[in-house]
This record gives sequence, C-alpha cells and structure tokens, in this order.
Amino acid sequence: MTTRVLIVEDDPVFRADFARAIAGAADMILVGEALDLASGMLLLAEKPDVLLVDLGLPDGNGIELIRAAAQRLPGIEIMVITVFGDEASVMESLSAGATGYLLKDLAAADVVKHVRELHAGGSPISPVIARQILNRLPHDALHAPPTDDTVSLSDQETRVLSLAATGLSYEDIAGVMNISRHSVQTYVKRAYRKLHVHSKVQALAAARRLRLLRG
Amino acid sequence: MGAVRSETFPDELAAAPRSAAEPLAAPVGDAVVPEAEFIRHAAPLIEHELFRRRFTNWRLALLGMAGITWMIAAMYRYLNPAVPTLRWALYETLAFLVVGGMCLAYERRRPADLGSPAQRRWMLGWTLASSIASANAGLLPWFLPAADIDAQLSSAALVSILMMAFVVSRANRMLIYCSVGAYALTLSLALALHTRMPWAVPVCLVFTAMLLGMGLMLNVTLGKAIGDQMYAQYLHGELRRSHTRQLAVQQREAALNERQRMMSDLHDGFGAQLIGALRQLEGGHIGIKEAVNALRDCIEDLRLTVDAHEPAARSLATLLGMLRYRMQARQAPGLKVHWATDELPESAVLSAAHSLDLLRILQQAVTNVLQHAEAREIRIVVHRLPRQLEIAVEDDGKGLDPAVAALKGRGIANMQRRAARMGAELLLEPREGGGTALRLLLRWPLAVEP
Repeated sequence: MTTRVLIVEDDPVFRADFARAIAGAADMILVGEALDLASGMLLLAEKPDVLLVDLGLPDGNGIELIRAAAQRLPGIEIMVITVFGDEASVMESLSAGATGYLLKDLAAADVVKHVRELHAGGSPISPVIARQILNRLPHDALHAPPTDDTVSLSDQETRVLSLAATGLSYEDIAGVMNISRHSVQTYVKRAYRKLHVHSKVQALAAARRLRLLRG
Repeated sequence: MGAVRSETFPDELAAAPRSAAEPLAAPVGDAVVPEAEFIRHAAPLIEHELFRRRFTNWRLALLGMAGITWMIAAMYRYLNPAVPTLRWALYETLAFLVVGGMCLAYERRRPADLGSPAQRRWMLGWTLASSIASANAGLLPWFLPAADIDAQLSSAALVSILMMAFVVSRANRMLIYCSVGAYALTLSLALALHTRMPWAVPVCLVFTAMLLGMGLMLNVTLGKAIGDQMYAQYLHGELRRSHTRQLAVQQREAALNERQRMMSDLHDGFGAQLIGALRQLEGGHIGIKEAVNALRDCIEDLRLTVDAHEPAARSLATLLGMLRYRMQARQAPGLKVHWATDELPESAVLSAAHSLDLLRILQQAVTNVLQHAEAREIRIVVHRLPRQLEIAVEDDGKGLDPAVAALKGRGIANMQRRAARMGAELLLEPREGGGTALRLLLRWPLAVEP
C-alpha cells in the first residue's frame, strides 16, 4: 500500500528536492505539488494520506489549508514545514489539525524518512511544544477534575509530555516509563489530536457565546 | 446689534470643552502647578465653564420672572374686572406653558457641550421663543390697551429682541445684572403707574437686589467649586501623564537593552560564524561538505537565539530541554552525551537575555570539548544544591592543557563575561579521574529581572 503525498510549498528548491526523494521511495507516491493556497485546496481532491504544507504561501496562510484538510479528510497526516520548529505558528498549526512538523533544513532523504515515520504514527515533539500543550490542555489531579475526556490529557499522556518537555528523546521516554517507543508516539499523537479538538471546542464555545450575546 | 452678535458665545462654548479636557498644557510645563497659581491661570476657563452652567440658570430665571409677572398681572386683573380677564388669563397661561415646556425639553436634551451647529440652532431658537413668551406674559398687559393687538405684538417683538440680544451676547456678569435690573425696574414702575401704589417700586427693587445678591454668592461658590474640580482634573491628568511617560521610558530602555544584547550576540555568534564560513569558502579551503556543515552550524546558532527568546522556554527546565533536544539532532559520532538532571520547578525562569547567556555558555563548553578534549563521553549535569544550582559540563578527555586554555582564552573570557552578567560563578577545573569539568553556579532560587 503506497502512501499518497501532497506538498504545498512555494520554495521551488525544497519542492524539487522533495519530489526527487519521493520518486526514489517505492512506498510513496506524490499525488500533487502546489505552490499556493488555492491550488493546494483543489489538490485536496486527490485524497492524500500525508500533506506537507508551508505556512507562508503567496496567496494566504497555510493554516487555512490545514483546517480544510483536517475537516475534509479525517485520518490525514499533516506536516507543517518550519524553519525553527518552535514558533507560535507551529502551535497554531497543531491546533488547526496538523500532527507533525518538519524542519526545513533537513536533507531530502531525511524528509522522506520523517514522512514515513509520521504515517506510521510517529509525530515529533519539541520541549517547547510539549510545554505549551501541557499549559493549554487540562490534565492531572492538580487541575480541576476533567469534565470532558476528549480534551483533557490522560495521566500517561501528561507524563509523556512532561518528559518530552525536558528534552528526552522517544527512546529515553520509553525507557523511563517502561513502555514501547510506539506507545510513546501514540500518546504524543493523541495529545496533538486533543489539542485540535480542544481548539475546536473553544472556537465553538466562543461562537455560542457570541450568538448568545447577540440574542 | 451686529457688534453684540459677533461676540456670540456658542463658538466659545464649543471651544470650551476642548480646552477643559487639556487644562493648561502650555503654561504648566513639567512640574506640578500649585492650586492658587492654577486657578489664576485657569481663570478664563473657569469663567467660561461658570457661564456655561449659568446659562441654564439664566433661562430658568427667565421662566421664573415670567411666572412672577404673570401672577401679578392676574391679581391686577382680578382687582379690575373691567378688563376681559378670561382672554388674558388664557393667553398668558398658554405663554407660560410654552416657555416652561421648552425649558424642560431643552434641559432634558441639553448636551454636555453645546458644540454642534444643530445644537446651537436649537439653542438660539429656544432663546428667541422663550424671550417672546416671557416678555408677553410679563410686561405688556400694563402698558397697552387690552384691545390693541397690533401694538402688543410689535412691542413684544421689540422687547424679545432686546432680551435675546442679552442672552446670546457674551453676557458678562455686569450685562446680566443690568438686564435683570432693568426688567425689575420696568416691572415695578409699571405696577406703580397702573395700580397707583408707589411703594411697589422699592419693594420690587429690594426683592430684585436680594435675588441678585444671592445669585452673586451662588456664583462665587460655584466658581470656586469649578476651580477645584478643574484642578483635580488637572492633577489627575498630570499623574496619568507622568505615569505614562515613566512607563514609556522604562519600556524604551528595556527594549534598547534587549536589542543591544541581541545585536551583540548576533554580531559575535551568528555574524562571526557566517563570515568565517564565507572566508573559508572563498579561499577554497573547504569543500561542499564542510560548507554544508558550516551553514548548518549557522542555522543551529540562529535556532539557539530563537530558543532563548521563546516565551514558553523562559522556564529553565524547558530551556535546558530545548538544548538537549537540539543536541540530540546533531549528535557527533563517537561522542556519547549523558544528561543527569535534577527536576526543576516550572516556576524557575530566566529573562530572555540570561537564557541566551546560559545557552551560549553551554554551547561554547560543548564546542570546546568537541574541538579540543578528544573525549569519548560528555556529561551535562544539572544539580540542585540548597542555595545554588550547579550546571556542569564534564568530559573524559585529555584534560585542560594550559597552553590550549590560553589559545582559546577568548572563548573562556566570553563565558566568564556572560556568567558575570547572569550573576553566576564559572569554574573550569580538572575532573576527578581525568578530563575537564566546567561548572556554572547560579544563585538558587533564581533571581529574575523583570
């Protein structure tokens, strides 16, 4: 089963390198290349399994594409292409439904490796992002008892994120918690999904408040 | 008339709130002005405000006068049944109701400042109408035969124009007193003539004088209150302004400091690295692979700067986490990195500048080990002592060679400078069992500058 990949990126060098690397990977097929938001939206019709998207597109913000893709194609893996990997924009992308990010200076071969890993369930997480998710989502007994477990972190997820926030690698976390590396990945990905749901719930609540206010 | 109109006050009134909002910015300067001096400077403003308020009183006085004269006229007619009482009573009652109604309506919709042209038109219209009405109600019955309607109307117009001129003129205090005085005199003379009761004249004048006296006292009190209020406003504004100024200065200073530190850091770190790479490339000393590495170093360096400025990484735990995370991605082959970290509370935070200093010290320490120590293992230890936090970079390399230490003196001097800026102590010493240990001792709990 081949993984269908769509890339939306206005940097021609990065796009070309990436296309070449994908062509060399037997388990992946590039279903589309777009250099702006509008054509990226159209290419969602190709139903990709993995979407790579740059945020600073010439005709708009990639966040819109992330939101649209997450809504239209449940189960899609979305990777944000970023230079530093810890900007506020990455947090926003994750809230919008992205499940991973990609450092732009990675060698093309490494990019393919990361796409493969993401598709297999392994989302990367930096300490800053782990810390921000911990700050944003309700978790553990210190906070008020969670009312809705779709948006509050479980104890295991909290533990994984806390360890990730100290800079531990997946292997280290797996070792400390005595679980498999795969489980660590699952917890991280679940935390990302909860962040997405959390932001949707909040947006909905805000909309409802607005409607109430307007009568 | 023209001269009077040219000094009409609505324009001045429109200007008054503007000048009241910014009381005396010009003569004040920076120091706070004492109240007496403020009042002296603000006298025209106070007079203005006083007049604005008195204007309302003035119209009410007009209504009052109309009422009093109407009452006297009605009594007079009651005593002289020959005059068609009913018609007069109806007419005057109507006039009184119109004046009263307009007065009330105007009071209700009176804006805080009589600024807009529409408001001014409304004010003029109302003044005209109320003047006509009060003049009719008050004066005419005594001077004219009840049947002569034409003469009544023309003299009504004359009197009302005169009164309007008073009302819309600059109307300094003296003018108002004169008009009220003239009104009182006319009224008492009319009473004396028609009723043949000479005593009515002094009685009327005494009453008017009492009224004026009370008005005068009221005026003085009101003026004092307005002065106090303006001074309070001025003090409040002055306080806010000085607070804002102080805040702005502080923020500018902080931003400037932050900028200077960042600039010097970019200059020493990122800039120097880029130039180094450029020179080597230009001289043909390095191949593609080294160039790529040099560029990657530059990007790493930039990441370090970005990390230090990340608000979420202000906590020491997350900051060290970022360093560990970044080092993982770029692990040198043949060198093992061990981390031994005591748990740090999230509340332990550093300022952006100190975060950068700390990251640079640790980065330099690791670079030194990589370049000079020939080590196989590097240990980064974060250890909490009762009053201090120790962050150590230990290696199992060949140890500190004084000659090498002298060569890389600049790097160490830089680290010392950064440590001093953080209020930390930096020690470079041989490690037990070979190798070198660099220890950074920070005061614990961390003293954070805002």
